Amino acid sequence: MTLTPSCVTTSEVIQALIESTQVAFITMLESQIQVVDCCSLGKFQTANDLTGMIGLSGEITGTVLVRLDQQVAIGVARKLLNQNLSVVDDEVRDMAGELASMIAGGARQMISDATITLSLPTIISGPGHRISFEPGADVQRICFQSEWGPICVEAGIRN
Amino acid sequence: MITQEEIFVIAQNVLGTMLHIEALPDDQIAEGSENEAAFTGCVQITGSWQGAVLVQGSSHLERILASVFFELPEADVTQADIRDAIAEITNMIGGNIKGQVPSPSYLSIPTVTVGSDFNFHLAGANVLSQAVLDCHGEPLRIVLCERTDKS
Repeated sequence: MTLTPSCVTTSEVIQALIESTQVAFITMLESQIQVVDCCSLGKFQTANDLTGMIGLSGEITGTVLVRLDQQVAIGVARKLLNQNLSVVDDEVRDMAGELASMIAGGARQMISDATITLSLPTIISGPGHRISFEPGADVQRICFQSEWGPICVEAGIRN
Repeated sequence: MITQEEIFVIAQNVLGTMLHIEALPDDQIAEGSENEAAFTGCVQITGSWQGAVLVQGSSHLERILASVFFELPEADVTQADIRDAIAEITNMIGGNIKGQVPSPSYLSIPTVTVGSDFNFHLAGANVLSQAVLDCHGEPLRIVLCERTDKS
């Protein structure tokens, strides 16, 4: 199988991620989520407590990160799982991976379902971890405000 | 499927050819010490075979690798140099491993996670094989994870 050069722009990916995140929150959590900022970044990212990460390959090659602080992650997991969670445990971590899968999967459907493949979700947990992308990647961050607090979705796309 | 010995060969080729670093198999590192890693480079593989390659090491090793990669004195290495070097090394090792798995398979872009206390978990995947090499006296761990949930 030979892949044709990408004709999907980073801005299309970002728009799809915005819409997909909003849809995911409405359908999964019955909650509205608002975009408060959207910007390009250098390679260095701010620190968070919990990150769900999905790799993209095919017509575009990149990685999507969904980043949450501890209290936001617990709040989302409590609503999603209808459980009285108070610490970041395996269920909260799994939620971060599932959320990243839903957001990236929804965006893929909005862009081009046939030619973008998603990787397994990877979950990175720990206070203040930082994630960076390869040199030269086009990195964009979308900051959302949810009822539980801020959530960032980042995409690093290979040019 | 890819064995520990094959990972050794791939890593030694990448580190030896590209960086002229002699990396020897290190049998002294205890299993489970990956949680002490100061950095984790990760590249994911999708397609006919699905999984991920992790490259992990200490804060001293990341500085050594960046120093050699960019031909800089260790004291002059920046955080940007470290992350770029780890990303490139992860991409090279991942690319070579991808060549050994069923095709067509594709790589995501590499990411580099740094921090003093973090945990890396691949949902729906198990460790297929891993290898630890001694690089300038520091352990470099390479972990190959394979998807177990085929749904």
